[in-house]
Amino acid sequence: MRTYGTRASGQPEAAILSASGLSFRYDGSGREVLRDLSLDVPAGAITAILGPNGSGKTTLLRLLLGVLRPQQGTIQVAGRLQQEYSRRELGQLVGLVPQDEHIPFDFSILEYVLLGRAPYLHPLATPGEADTAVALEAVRAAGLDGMHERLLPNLSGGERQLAVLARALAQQPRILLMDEPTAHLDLGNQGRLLDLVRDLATAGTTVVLTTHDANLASALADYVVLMLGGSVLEAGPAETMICGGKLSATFGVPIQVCAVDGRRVVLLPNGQANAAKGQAGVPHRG
Amino acid sequence: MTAAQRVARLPVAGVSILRRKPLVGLGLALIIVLALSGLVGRYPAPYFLSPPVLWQDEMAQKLVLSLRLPRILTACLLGMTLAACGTVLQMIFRNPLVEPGLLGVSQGAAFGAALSIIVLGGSTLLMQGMATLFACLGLAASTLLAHRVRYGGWILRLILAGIAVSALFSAGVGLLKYLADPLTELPELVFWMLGGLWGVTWADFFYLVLPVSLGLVVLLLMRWRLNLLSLDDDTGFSLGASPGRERALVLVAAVAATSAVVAVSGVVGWIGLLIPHVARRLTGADARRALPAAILLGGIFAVLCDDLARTLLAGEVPLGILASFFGAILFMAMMLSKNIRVQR
Amino acid sequence: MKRTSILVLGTILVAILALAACGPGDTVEPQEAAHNQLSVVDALGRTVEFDGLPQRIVVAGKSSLTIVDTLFLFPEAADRVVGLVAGRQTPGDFLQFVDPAFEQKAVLEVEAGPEQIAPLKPDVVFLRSFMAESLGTSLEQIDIPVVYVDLETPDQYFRDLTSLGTVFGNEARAAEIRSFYQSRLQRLEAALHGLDEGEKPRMLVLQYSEQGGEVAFNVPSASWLQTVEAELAGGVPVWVEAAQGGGWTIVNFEQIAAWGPDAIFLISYNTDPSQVVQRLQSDARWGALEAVQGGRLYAFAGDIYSWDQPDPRWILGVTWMASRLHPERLDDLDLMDEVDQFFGQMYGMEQEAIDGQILPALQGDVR
Repeated sequence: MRTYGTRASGQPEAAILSASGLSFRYDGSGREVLRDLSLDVPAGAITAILGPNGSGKTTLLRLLLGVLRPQQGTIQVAGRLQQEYSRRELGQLVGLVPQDEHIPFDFSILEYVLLGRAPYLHPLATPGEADTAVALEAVRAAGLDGMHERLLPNLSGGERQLAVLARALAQQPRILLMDEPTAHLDLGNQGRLLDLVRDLATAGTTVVLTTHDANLASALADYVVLMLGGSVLEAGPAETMICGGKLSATFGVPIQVCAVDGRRVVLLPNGQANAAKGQAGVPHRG
Repeated sequence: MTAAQRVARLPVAGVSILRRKPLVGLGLALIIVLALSGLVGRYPAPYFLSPPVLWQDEMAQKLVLSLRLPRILTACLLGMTLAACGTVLQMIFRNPLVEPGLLGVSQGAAFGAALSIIVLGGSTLLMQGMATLFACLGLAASTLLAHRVRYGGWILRLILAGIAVSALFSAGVGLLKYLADPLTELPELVFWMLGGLWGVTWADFFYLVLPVSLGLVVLLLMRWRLNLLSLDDDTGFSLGASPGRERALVLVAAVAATSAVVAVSGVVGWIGLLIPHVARRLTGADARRALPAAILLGGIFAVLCDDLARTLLAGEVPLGILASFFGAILFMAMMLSKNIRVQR
Repeated sequence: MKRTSILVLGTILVAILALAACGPGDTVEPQEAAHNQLSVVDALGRTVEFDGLPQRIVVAGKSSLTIVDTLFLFPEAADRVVGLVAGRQTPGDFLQFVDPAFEQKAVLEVEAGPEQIAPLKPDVVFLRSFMAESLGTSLEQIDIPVVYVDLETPDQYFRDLTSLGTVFGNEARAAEIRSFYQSRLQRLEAALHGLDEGEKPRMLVLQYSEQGGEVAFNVPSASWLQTVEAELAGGVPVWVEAAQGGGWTIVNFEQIAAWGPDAIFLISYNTDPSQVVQRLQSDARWGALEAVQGGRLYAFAGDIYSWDQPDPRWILGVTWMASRLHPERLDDLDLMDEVDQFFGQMYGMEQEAIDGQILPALQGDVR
């Protein structure tokens, strides 16, 4: 079992979620989306999968979730093979916060969050008072206290994302998968989300999030997995991974990382991105 | 309070019950509508039959028990089934503009019944059996076709396939119409395609009760799960559902009940489209409340339309025409008053 | 909340089932044997039992003109028929001359249902067989006896006449009527005896209809009386393959020209057929047809009603058609005499009445 290093306590990390030799291509397309990918996700920590658009991050997440099955390779969840779990067992273990959740009907927040209790309910059952209590607690934990009667379409983008998170929280999962969680959030909401995720990790939930935002990874993650072209470039603790050289290799543009108040800040590429790719810039007016 | 004042306050009380506990209000409304419908008709004079006359006139009693009652109850089951099926289809396909007549179910049932009338002589049992068979074939054809199409997401593929299969069966009925003897079979077919409950007897009702009850019970048991099935597949999967299988179960239940009623009443449109929307307005989108509300509302709507169908004129106005008329007007009113959102 | 809703729904479903259990069964209750019991076998092969002669007769449903006109071949009809349907062709137009009190009878709409028929308190309702599903079953549910008749082909006619004779309690009259028709048919057969297929003219029966400005020419169904009449009159109906479906089938001029019939009989229910024929004769396209050039485009004969349809007048229709198709074989036929005999013997009309009411109404190429 590979480990990434040790925590402050000095104990070696155990991987709660691990993939080994994954290869995957979608039906009908020739291109291999993931190629011989292996990774370990340590328990109780926040792992960020960082990579450019199209590197296969979302596909990897869907494989980890179990929606897709790899053509080659295995996935282990909490020590057992993913296939060995029943759908409900997996649902109780792994939760998903997708990037864009389409909800065509005007559910209230509570009704929607209550759906997170599904893995604990028989298909013919309806949620009881205990489930409602868990859902209300999840709503409160997500920072939407008192808003549980409001209808989803009437929420702002940030509130909606928090509602989706609340739904995942109601699932009480041990592992939470998040796909580009801050994609539509402004800075304020991003801050709230970050706090929430940190609280979750402290409480023992393992969080795996995909992102192309290196600053998010820097601010939030304990561990970072750098992905490029369908395989893992490098993986390790955030301090090691967030550095100019590695990021430049991942994103293919010169990137600088500097330290501010002891935190690493990734600077946006400034003016040399196209030059690095060998392209001419926008023609100047003569 | 005088008696008159009490009676005057009833409508207000009724509306407030409807607001606070919509399902109870709708249930009461359904019972009242069912009871009063027995007194509506064209005997001995158009429109209303007063209870004293009913008490004394033997023919009136026979009419009410043998003709009106089975027809009213069948209309109720018809409305309930179509509304339930519409709700289920809208949630499963995440599309508020979907109807039972979409997947080739209603048209398949129409084709099966028409075929049995023309080719096999049209005994009622045979006709209803063929209708159910072809409704299921229609659903299967739509599903299989959707799996083969290589364009768009699953929902779009299913809708396209369903439209194609529905059109095929509709054209099939049209061809049968052309070949049919207009004096012997065509009136039935025409009535059939426009919907009507003119010849309903207790035998028809008893045929319906079992599949409809079973179907409705299954749908009601799965009503919370419907919420889940209306989410994205990935989300549903992450919540431990088997979206494919559970959807199939719900669809089969809805289609079986729907084809049973279509075999008896013909293709009646708009109830499956409109009633779920009204129900959601009353109780919210949660299917735990919206589905029972739709069922009750569908029953009320269908019974009222059928009352008009057999009372308005000397002859029968096809039920589908009235349902479309009022359904379309109500639907337009709803569209104008609030935008129906379809999130993509 | 969910418990309440389940309870409400459960109560409603239980109530529905309970109500259904109270409903009477679907079977017709067996009649007690009475000494006056009548039993009639109708067109659908059902045996209908009556306690005594039905005194109140109602005719309902579509295409009922032929039933009413056939009923009035029996003298008892005037008293016993209490309700009938007035469709596009009003029975009163003719039957007022047969029964002076005809106007007082109750008139139903064509679409009248059991609730409109029940107040007439009928002892029996006559329907055409195809009305079984849409009207007959419902009437029987409220214990109103129904007798179905076909009256479409001669064989069906004679069979249904027997049923009518039983219902009126006047089998003798039924036999009289039957022998009247059969004697005319036999005479026709004798006159056309020895005609082989090659000698039979190819003929076309067309109905001209003009609805909402749309002009259409229709051919009758292969199973209809018009086709049978054509064969009885010694012609070859050319339209049979096109009319397998049933009902009036629209045909276009190309098809008519392709058939190239030797004779064309033009029916028109709404406009005067003679006028239509005149219009067609002056039309360039129709003028080019062989039948029109040979002067063999005939306006179908009729009096108040056209003689082609399943109405007792069909015997006149057949006779007339034969006289046009084979004039040489039927040169001893006096059509006016036939008309006098028909209305005199079948409807008991006085010669005066016939001269005054029927002859002026004659239309088409009767003479």
